[in-house]
Amino acid sequence: MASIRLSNLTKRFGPFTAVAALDLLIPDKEFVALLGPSGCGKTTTMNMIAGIESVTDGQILFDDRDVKNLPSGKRDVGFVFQNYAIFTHMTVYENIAFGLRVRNVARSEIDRRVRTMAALMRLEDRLEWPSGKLSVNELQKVAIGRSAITEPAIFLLDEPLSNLDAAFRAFMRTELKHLQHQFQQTMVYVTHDQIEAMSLADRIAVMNLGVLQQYGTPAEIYNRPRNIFVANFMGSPSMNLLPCRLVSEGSALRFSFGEAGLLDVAGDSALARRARSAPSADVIFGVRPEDVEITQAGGANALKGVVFFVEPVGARTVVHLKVNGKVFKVTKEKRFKIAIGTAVGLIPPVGKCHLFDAASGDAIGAG
Amino acid sequence: MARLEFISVSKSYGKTIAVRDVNLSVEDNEFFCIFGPPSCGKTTLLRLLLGLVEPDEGEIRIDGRSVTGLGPKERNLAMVFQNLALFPHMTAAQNLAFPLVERKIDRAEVARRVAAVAETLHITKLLNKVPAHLSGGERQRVAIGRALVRDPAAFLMDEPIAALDARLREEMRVELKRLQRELKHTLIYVTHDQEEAMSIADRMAILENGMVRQVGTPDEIYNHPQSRYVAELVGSPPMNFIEGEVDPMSRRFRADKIAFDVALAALGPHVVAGGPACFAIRPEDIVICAADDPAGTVAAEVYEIEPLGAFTIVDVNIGETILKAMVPGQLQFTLHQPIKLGFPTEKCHVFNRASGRLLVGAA
Repeated sequence: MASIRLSNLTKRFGPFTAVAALDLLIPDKEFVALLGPSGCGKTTTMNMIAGIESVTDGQILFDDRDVKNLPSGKRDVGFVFQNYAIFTHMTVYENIAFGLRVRNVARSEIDRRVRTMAALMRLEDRLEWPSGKLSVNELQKVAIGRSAITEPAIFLLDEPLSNLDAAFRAFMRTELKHLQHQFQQTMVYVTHDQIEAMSLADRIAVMNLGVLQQYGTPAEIYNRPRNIFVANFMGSPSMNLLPCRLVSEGSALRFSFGEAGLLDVAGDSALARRARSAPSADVIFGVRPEDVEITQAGGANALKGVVFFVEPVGARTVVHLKVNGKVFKVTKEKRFKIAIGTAVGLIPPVGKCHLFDAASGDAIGAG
Repeated sequence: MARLEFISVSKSYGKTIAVRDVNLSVEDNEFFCIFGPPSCGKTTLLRLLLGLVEPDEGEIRIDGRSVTGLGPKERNLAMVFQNLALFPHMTAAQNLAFPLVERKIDRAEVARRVAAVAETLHITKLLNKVPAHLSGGERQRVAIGRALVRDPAAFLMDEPIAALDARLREEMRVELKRLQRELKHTLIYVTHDQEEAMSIADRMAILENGMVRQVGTPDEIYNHPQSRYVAELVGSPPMNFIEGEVDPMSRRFRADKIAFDVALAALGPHVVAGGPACFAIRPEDIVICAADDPAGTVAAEVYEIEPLGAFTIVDVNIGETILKAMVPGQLQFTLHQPIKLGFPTEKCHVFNRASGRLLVGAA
């Protein structure tokens, strides 16, 4: 078992900085997701941890041991990649047993562990199959099982679910998490899919353009995004972000949205206190689609919106509106009905509003 | 503007049956999705419509007239391709004009039609740009515009946005829906993405091995699947299934292997006592309650928790069987916590285990 400490970790490819001075502590036995869009530096970071990419600057510590100059094979890390790399001429059993065989583990011990792993991955009835005959879904289960069986202290996964179909992905998410709870390895998981990161990880490191944007539990990242990038990247549909202006109105604080209307907030509310620490009166107001209430048009303290699209996406209905010419989304329960063209009032609950500085994009009053 | 019909259409390639006895009718002005897994016959249906291949049996009609024997050009349908293939060295205007120039239409008329189409699609300002300088959404408009200048009877699209990233795809489907509404054209849209089909279709057809399994609105497909196949194919996370049997006397479903015994709504005519059946319920329809809550009828444990922000997926296990439940908001659970589950009768489905056919439908 091991913790991973990255300090000032930097990777440059010529003039291009792929990872910039990254500081990150991945505690022992935790499941940490490196999350971000393509080009954010997540895979480069993982490759440096794995030892398959050299480090330009900074340190990588496993517990207190600097592994920067240790070859990949000596770091006791297991990998699973997007394209499973299974030996197709071997049976499933032989593939899963492979890592133990090269370590000269006793035959009876190998057999016991292969069968335990197969049961865990629900591959019992496939053990004698040639791997070439497996489905894509099963191949990835074998790849994960083959890596997990050697019980490496650190387990690295690079987008292991991205080639799988949606239903199986949902199933594997649960199984991966369960696997980690059982084996208690330190897991680093690279993904561009915020749903995977949210559902699997104990902590998420959100990256963009080589720079760490925020590091925290899924709830922290989702509920208290540190900047507009994180706010926008997490959640689907993403957070509604509207430019607005702060105006003092006696004891109240007014958020002015131009033609979309006004929101008045009690001066002693937490939101007003936060807003007062804003560096400028021009702020970006954020609210998540699931937090907004839809009411009749014309009410006080509501934004004006007009429905232009209603999208049933299975369990939920996404209502698309235009607010001040900008797209604004509200999620409702399935079979929610509202006519296109309806003018409505939109009420963002005061306790669930986010504020960002318009110039820097940083959250206002975030801890 | 056109009504498109398949009447008992079949098509084989050698020994492979691509399309079997398909009957479909797409109404004028409808946004119609053809949905199914890879190689279920979706693309063959499009090729048949376009006239690229002829059916072995059956007939295709456009506005009531058989088009058998008519070549692709005579059918006046417009195909928008998967990769939105625009000529990279041509401006948007030249791309739009291309199908007309090719048909040797005179220059003034070409200019007039390009301007009119650009106006409709709100791309007048983009006419002098080359594709590399356009956003994904703008490129799509140009690609559609290029089909539109010919004033086709209907548009056909084969996974037009499959290659784009998730965020852009979400934007594009809203855009496509809006465009179709404004253009007032029949649009047939092929996709293997259930969420995409659900979100944009007025109606959709679900295919399995070249056969149409169900046709209906997204609401009907999602809430009233007529077979296990359709139930499994739509929804994310997928529907939960439990094998067991129906007891018609007590109107209850009992699982084979686990302690699971729940009440059902009115039984359909096909229920056989003790016949192998499969219970199904969507994750968002399972009710989670405290272990001592009388509203819960089935004892379970929390297996894993997936917090997704707007909602939480709670994986629960009843013995060895794992179900996915989905609840709004961010709920706190602990692993292995004992809970009770409720299964509202009006949300429960039961399928025949052998045929997959619906036995007991949700209300």
